[in-house]
Amino acid sequence: MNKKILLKPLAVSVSLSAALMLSACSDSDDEDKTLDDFHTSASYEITVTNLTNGQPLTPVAGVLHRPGYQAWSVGKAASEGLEQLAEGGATAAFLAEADADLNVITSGSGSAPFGPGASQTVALTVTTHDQQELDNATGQLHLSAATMLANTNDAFAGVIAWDVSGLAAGDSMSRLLLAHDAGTEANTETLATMPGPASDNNGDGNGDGEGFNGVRDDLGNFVTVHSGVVTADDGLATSALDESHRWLGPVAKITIERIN
Amino acid sequence: MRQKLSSIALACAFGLGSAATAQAASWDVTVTNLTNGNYFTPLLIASHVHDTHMFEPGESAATYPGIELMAECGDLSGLTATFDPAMQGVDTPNSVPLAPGASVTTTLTTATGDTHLSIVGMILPTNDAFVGLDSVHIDSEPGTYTYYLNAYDAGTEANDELISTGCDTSTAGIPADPGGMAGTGGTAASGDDGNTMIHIHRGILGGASDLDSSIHRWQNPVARVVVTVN
Repeated sequence: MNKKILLKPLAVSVSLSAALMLSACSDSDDEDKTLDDFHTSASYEITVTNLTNGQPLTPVAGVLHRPGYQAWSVGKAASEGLEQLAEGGATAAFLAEADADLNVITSGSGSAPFGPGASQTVALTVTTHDQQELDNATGQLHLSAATMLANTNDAFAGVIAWDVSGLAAGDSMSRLLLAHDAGTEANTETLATMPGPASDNNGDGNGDGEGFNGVRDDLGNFVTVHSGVVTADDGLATSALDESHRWLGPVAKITIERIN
Repeated sequence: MRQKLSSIALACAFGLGSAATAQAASWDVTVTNLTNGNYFTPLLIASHVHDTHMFEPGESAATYPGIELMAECGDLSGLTATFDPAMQGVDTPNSVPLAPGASVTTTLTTATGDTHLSIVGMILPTNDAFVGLDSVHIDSEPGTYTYYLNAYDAGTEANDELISTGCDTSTAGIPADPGGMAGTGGTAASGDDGNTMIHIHRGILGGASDLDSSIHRWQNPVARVVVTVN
């Protein structure tokens, strides 16, 4: 984990100043020290609270980045990483896409789904060589994050490029998250097509519907604000959902706190 | 308001001037009901210091005494014990339910140190929905600031959508429909809260219940708040 966090900022700075620092320290008595000892960091906690009535949220994927990284755009096609996250809750491909972007500083995810009323915190650390680099990174810091609404075909809640550069240690900021439709899967609401516990057909409490499927068969292949679920209680007889799975507008609250 | 005093003391102790030195101000606060067929019971509107909350989404209503009674019965008596309308910067401007499309305005003279605004009021006819503004920072710069409010579910009562007689917090039911458009003798919506924390309300189902899906549904936002800092 630490290694991964260190990789990016160091990779940028190695070419500029690390070589000098290394040669300097090899002349001294600090022979036991490694590159990792010469850094400073700012740590953040990103907490998502599930404000729905009946939608478990899948592990939160969080990305701290400079301006320029765009996790998705309303009206444009979702990346495959976002499709995997929005249809099945998998974060690996989404985070791999992020980590491949030069503007991304660090990323991470939660480990388990969390239900209505529950919260999940993802800790992310920005690590650089010195205070000047750190101030430069935190001074243009943005947060993007996403999590799937598990009892849906391809709904996800998230935030894109939220400017969190103004945070000093101890400060926090919050906002509410809207549900989006990834536009990658038709909203059939059938038992076979949703991975959340509403598609449990053998009584073990876990969903049995399909998660990710690479076929794109939604009305339009682009991200929109989600129109909500219809459910069987409201007249869609083939839906595996009931009225408890509905939502209106915001589905989660996200808070970012700078710890140090 | 012990909270108010202690946070000022803390801010002073750490030499953080902003919260402690916020001067008393005059805010005109106008709340407009943006729904199609829902009413707001008497609203509680209060200015306060930055770390005070009337409620917080994601937290249990039990953490905020008076929220359950407000959300289920429209009764502010639990909340006004803390946010006393006799105090500076606190008011309950509408004595009768605020109708769809209607507005109500109050002028708050904030107390020194007050930088934030909160608002709550029950939405009728519902089991435990309320319109809420949770502690937003109001700029000290004179000007007009607009906020849009969501409908919350207190998480304290099943949404059976049945009109009942009277109100107490131990039984489910909707105390009244001021608009007179609800039916009677309906079939309870399944309605159990899957989220017992304060959360975003999933809306009205209607149909076989006492509520009418073509009248009593809403989309967020359900209210507009315009604050004019004088």
